[in-house]
Amino acid sequence: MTPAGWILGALLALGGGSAPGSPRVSRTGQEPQGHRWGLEVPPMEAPTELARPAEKIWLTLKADLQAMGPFTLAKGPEAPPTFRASTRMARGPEGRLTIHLHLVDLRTKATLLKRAYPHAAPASLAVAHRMADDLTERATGLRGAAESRITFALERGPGVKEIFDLDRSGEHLRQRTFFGSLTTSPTVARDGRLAFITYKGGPPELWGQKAPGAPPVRLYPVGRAAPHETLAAPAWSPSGTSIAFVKEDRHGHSDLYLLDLVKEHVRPLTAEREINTEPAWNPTGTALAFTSTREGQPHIYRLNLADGQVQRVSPADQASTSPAWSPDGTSLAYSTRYLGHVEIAIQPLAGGAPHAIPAPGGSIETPVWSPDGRWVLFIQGQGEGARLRLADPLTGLSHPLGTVSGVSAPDWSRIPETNHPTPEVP
Amino acid sequence: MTRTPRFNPLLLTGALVLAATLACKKPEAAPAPAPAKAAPTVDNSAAQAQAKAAEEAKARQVAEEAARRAELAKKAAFDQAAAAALQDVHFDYDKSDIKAEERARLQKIADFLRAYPTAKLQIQGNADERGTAEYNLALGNRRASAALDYLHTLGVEGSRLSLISFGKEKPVCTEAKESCWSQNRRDHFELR
Repeated sequence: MTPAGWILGALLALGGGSAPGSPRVSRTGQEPQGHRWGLEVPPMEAPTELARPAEKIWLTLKADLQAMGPFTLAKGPEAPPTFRASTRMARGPEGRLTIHLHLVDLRTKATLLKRAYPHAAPASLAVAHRMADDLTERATGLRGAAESRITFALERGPGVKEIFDLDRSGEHLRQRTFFGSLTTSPTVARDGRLAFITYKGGPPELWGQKAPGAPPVRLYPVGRAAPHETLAAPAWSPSGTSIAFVKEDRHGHSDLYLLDLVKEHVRPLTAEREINTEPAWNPTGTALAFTSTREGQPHIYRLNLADGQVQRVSPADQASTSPAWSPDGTSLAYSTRYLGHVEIAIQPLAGGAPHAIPAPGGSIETPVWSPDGRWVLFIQGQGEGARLRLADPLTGLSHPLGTVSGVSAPDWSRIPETNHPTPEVP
Repeated sequence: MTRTPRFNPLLLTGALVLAATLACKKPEAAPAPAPAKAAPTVDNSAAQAQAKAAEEAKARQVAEEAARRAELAKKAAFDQAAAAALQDVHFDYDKSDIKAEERARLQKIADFLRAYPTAKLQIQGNADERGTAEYNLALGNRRASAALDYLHTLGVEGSRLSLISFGKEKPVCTEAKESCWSQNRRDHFELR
């Protein structure tokens, strides 16, 4: 498909219908992710007094597009730009700042996107991330993931972890919990609510936010913690109404449970006398992938919530853990042990063999998908040396993300759009 | 020639004065009784009570000190016994079976609990750094459970044991080599 065809397909898709062959990030390689469109992003126009914040936002927009979008910003006769994204910062009648974005196809001079972004805080870079995601969505039909945050547990001392997050570029580290105890396994709902496991009171408890912006409270157990239960691996359902988690009893059994936050009811999803852990939802909330030792060594299984059917997904001859469902529902990423080290496997669910993201020295584990499905984030190294690394799941190429070390249990989520309205210009 | 002693008037005077003095000396008279006063009404019971209380306090202090020393000695003996008995139990990679060579350690723990019937233990399951955090939590739980089950077979009541898993979150050794990992694959026992 040509670039123009891709854009056209995207525009048709945005028009309310799904055009046949409309572009999506391919998991099968027909539309290689490596293809990039030439994009010109001239410096943001702005009044003199706003030149500095305008430049900062412009630089962030370019960095987002270069790193996350299907664009190349390189100039020169070898790579003439196909599109131009112009930006302008202006002050409205009431003194409110607004940024205007205008995407043009340089060959046809056609306007592909025109949008205004009310922007109250000049120092905020969120508007740059949002513009990058809008441009990516126009280009590919799939919203970008620049406006997202990566949440994880970070080691703060012997036996002490807290929940932190940072932006998709690996910067702007922010502490989310302050318990001074072992606090781990963060999961973020689509509306931004955070849930996690904390040992702050001794036995582990499931805590979370009941509403966006609300302080976290104990969600489970409701009364006093049972003395023989270890809780682990919470995962918000896509609807945000329930949390799958793991309860480990005094007999050594670990089973999946579902906490319904609306009915305030907990029910078991598995009842095996083995390890069942690491639940991961599919995008529609109808199935969970999870790790189980029901056949001896750990493997990845799929649990259909409607009928309770369980099916092994990972190859029988390799120990595998930590499944993560791709946002489009077509693939699973998981950690798999191979020849003494651990690597990340990407398995298409429609059939076919998984392919691996090679470990760039040492073991890598705990994959999570970017919200747009274009990237897989994982952890390289162990303990205090554990760092985030970002890989293209199709090419397997990876690079470090940020400089924070001592990370574990990452989750990657969009910043909810409700917090950042982006009205169309009439 | 015989000399007649001469009369000395000074000697005579001194003798007379001495004689007069001796003649005038009378025996000492008994002191006159003091004028009669009202008999003092001193209440000795308060002082006696005070003295008794002081004695009792001292006795109590001595007893308390003895008890404290005895308690310290008892606690020292308990701590010594606990330190000797509560040794980590180790596991093979990705396993939660109690190895034959580790059973003696659990036997010591059971003996300790028998000797100190009020002692309670928390069994903390741990794993090495390999594998995901969540899987290792489950593995740590299985290891803690395995020790709990074994202690139960040795006669320890379940009500005296609780368990918790820390997975790979609390390593005792942080180097990436087997000699270190093997130390981290353990059950740790803490008094509660």
